[in-house]
Amino acid sequence: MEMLKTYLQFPFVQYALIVGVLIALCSSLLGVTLVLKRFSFIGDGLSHVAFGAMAVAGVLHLSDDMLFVLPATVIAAVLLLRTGKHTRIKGDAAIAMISVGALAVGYLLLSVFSTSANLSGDVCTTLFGSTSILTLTVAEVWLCIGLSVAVVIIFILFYNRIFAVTFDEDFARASGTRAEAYNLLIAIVIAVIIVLAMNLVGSLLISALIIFPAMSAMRLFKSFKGVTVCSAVLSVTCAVLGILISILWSTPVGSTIVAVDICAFLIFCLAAKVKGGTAK
Amino acid sequence: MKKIIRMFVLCLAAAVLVSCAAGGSGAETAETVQVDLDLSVLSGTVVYAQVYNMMYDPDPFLGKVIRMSGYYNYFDDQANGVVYHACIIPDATACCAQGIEFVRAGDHAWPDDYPEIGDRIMITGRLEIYEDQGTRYLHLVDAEMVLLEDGENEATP
Repeated sequence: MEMLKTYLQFPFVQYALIVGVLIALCSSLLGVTLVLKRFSFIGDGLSHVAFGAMAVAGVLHLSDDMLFVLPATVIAAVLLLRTGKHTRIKGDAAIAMISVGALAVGYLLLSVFSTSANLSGDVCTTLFGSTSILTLTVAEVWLCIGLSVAVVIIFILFYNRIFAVTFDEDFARASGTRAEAYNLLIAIVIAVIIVLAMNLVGSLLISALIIFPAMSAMRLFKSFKGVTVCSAVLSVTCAVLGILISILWSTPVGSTIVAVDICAFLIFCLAAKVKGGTAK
Repeated sequence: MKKIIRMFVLCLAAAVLVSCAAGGSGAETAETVQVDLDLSVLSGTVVYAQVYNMMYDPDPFLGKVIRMSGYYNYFDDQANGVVYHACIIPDATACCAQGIEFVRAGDHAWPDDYPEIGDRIMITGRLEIYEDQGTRYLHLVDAEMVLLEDGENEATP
């Protein structure tokens, strides 16, 4: 406990906890919607796009890669959504193509053009987060706070519309809701979350932040509101726990958070069985 | 400094395979200096992040006596005839490393008075900045080096 108090005095540990909580909260809010809409893997696809964009930013020696990575990921999210229904390449194939394509091109660019002497380290950091969350600058923390607050406000303001579009898009459209616009909004918000979450868990593990809390909450709760609230609380708890464990026992931050998420999922599955199985 | 550290990082994978020599030439007894920032008692993840942040923004730490433990490594700059010594801290994923160059107090011949690459060491020295060919580098000066035994994590002055 004394050691933990000592660690909490370091500014970078405080930044990590603030950013970790915010990212976990945002990802869990949208995670419920994505899981219910069968878009679980859009997070994976977009995170790989973000990796590719980060590689391009690195090759171009951009001082602030976020200025390039964020718009690129948002554009990819919009494109993925547009290819959903009325194009020759259907949703899952489009996600798979963009996902592996961006990953391959990103690594290729890094290999060919990077001036870094530690290419494997750079790639590892981007894919698994490494200790990125503990090496944030104050500006990055504020950017994360700003974007996270925007995501939460958007979710609260459009909660009813997102709820409607999530459960029955056709009915929502028939009742006058601009479903396409709200799908677009969801895609943009999830792109923002993906870019933020890359610092926390890296691009390969982002999907876990989106899927596990939502799936865990669905074991015990039935209502959209109940699942969303439980998912948010669980996600934040797991993120804080994961960060603290990784700091105390020197484990990789991203994979520790995901491991805690997996444990929580198993506990919730067990609890659901004990309770009698209230959810599928 | 960045290039040097990166070269150390490349060497690190090989370095961990090198068996740690028992005892050690050049090992010194721990002294009793006033340490401003003792990183040797912190977890690897925190030390890695702290060293990264010190490299990124060194001003608050300049002139302070810092103690840290990590792995010994060196870079032999044959073009300039200089050997740079460093204490390296790998991150938890073991794909990245941070390190600080150190200059020991007193006269020590390399390689006789230095440990093998990959040996665990504890360094206590004053953080200073120096300029070489227009680039600013950080190093610990007047550094005392102690060779640590296997599994020994904490400084025991």
